[in-house]
Formats: sequence, structure tokens, C-alpha cells
Amino acid sequence: MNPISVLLVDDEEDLSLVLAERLEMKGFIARGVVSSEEALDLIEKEEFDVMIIDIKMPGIGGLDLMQRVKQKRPETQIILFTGHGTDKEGETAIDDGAYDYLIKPIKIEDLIAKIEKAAGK
Amino acid sequence: MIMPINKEQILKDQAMIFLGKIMASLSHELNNTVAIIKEYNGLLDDLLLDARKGSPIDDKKVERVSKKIASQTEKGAEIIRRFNKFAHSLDNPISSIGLNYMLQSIIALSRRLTEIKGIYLKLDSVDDSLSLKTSPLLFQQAIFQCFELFMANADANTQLIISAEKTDDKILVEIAGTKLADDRAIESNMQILDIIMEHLNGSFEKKTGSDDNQSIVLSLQDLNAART
Repeated sequence: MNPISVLLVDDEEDLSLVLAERLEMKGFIARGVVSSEEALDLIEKEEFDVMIIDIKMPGIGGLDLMQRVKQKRPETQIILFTGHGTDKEGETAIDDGAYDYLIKPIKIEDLIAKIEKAAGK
Repeated sequence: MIMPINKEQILKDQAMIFLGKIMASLSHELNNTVAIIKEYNGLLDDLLLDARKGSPIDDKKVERVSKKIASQTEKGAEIIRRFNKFAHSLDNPISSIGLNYMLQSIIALSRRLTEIKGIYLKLDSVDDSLSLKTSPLLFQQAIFQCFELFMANADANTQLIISAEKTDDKILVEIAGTKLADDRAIESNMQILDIIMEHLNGSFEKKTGSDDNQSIVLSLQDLNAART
């Protein structure tokens, strides 16, 4: 079985990189980028099973990025990160087409469970 | 039935909205910092688990993670210091404020909110000796309100330059940047700024340069100067 490929998009560079590193150690193929623009460039060339996107980012925001990814790569599942302490923003994101959401700070076990579920594995 | 709202009530409501936005922004920044520390700590746990299974410890990696935790902890402490300074700046309804210090403070507090909208703030050199006796809350609120006026029509990668100077009996603060949104879109923000400036015994003016770029100039009465 091929490993699940994951692209993390968060303007907090340390967060996207350390999460990618942790996911790699747990058997995923993971990349971390710091902007929607960078993510859009990357998905032109590469395909990912799951994208983890922070909702609030400068430039193209997370929700806007999600819509663009859905057009370009409809098979990619999207999990959103929200910094809000309530579920409202995440539930709205699911209504807008996200597979799921997580509130920061996350638990790595929850992230892995959601990625595997999103990828159908 | 909607109650008629007077200017005092608008001012109180807007102060709460301003404080809410600042607190939300700072707590968001702090939350991100905590999230990063948590993940680096988790990475150390992962490395430890691997070591217990017999993998050699990569001391370079452990050192890098340790440094990251230290730098993020310092970043978190800086956010808390900023929050604390802001809270204490509101200790007295009227006080003498160093203009350079106060502008630096409100810029640091607003930075994340403006950058999300593609607005980058830059403080022009402000003479350290410039001070102003005024309401620190309303002063910071007025500056933030100006940022919001530009944020309503933000093109990505726009820079706002904030500068200040003293005239005979007034302090002028200019926030200069790109084009503002059309008047209808920012009408309510303008009204709020007008009420804030009225309470500061000041006024504001919208200026348009030859290159179509616009600025807002706040003219503030120094209560020290007013008494002499």
C-alpha cells in the first residue's frame, strides 16, 4: 500500500515544517509550505491525498485556497486548521466543502486519525 | 424597538470592539506559539520512542529542536510582554505618552491583523522626545481605526507608513498608504473615527496625493500644551 501523501499549508513556518517532520516519522509522505501561493504552485506539479490548511493566512486565505484546490484537484481531501477556540468556524468550513477541521493546538493522534480517514485508509 | 444610540454609547461600544480585536489577535499569536512548542515537544517524544526501540539518537536533531523550543518560548514571552504593556497603558484615562513608544506599541499589536489583509505597517522615525498628554486608549483606538480604513480596501503587499510631528500646539500623526475604499464602504468607520477624534479634542483629514495614494492625518491636541 502506498503511503498517504500530505501537504501542510500554514504561514507559521515552524508549525508546518515540524508537523511534516512528525508525519514523515510516522510513515506519511509529508511536505510543509508557508503560503497558499506556494501550495498552488506545488499542486500544479504534484498530487496530494490530503491537504491540511490553516484558515487564517495573509494573501490568499485558507478558505479561498480550499476552493481553488477543489477546482484543480477535486480528489484531494482537505482538513482545515482553525485557531478559534470554538467549533463554529470549523463547522462553517465543513459546510463549505472541507472534509474535517482541527482546533490548534492539535493532538498528533487526532491529526493522523483524520488524515487516514480522509484518505480512506 | 431599536434604542437611539448616542455618541457616548458608540464610543464605549467601539472601545470594547477594539479591545476585543486586540485580545483576539494576541491570543491567536500566542496560541500558534504554544502549538509550535507542543509539536517540537512531540518531536522529542518521537525521537525518544525511536531511541528506546534501538535507533541511534540524532544529537544534531535534538539540539535543533531544543533551540526551536527556546526561540518559540521567547517569542511567547514577547507576546505576553506586549499584552502586559498594552494593558498597563490603559491604567489611567489620561496620561503623558511617549509618541514613538505608543506608536510602536499599537503597530506591534495590530501587525497580525493587518498582515492577514495584506497591509504591512512601517513606523517612520519619530523623535523620541515627542510626547503627548491624552487618552492612551482613544489614541491607540484612533490609530487602529485608521488601519481599518485602509484594510477595507487592501491590495496585497501594501505598506502603510506611520509618521508623527509636532507643530506649535498640536501633534500630527499621518498614516499614508494606498487608495482607501470608496466613501460609502468606509462611511461608518469614518464616523467612528470622527467621534474618537472629537473626544480627543482633535480632528482628522483625508488627503490624496498626486499619485492617487491617500493618507489620513490626525491632528491631536496636547493637553499639556493646552494648559500652558
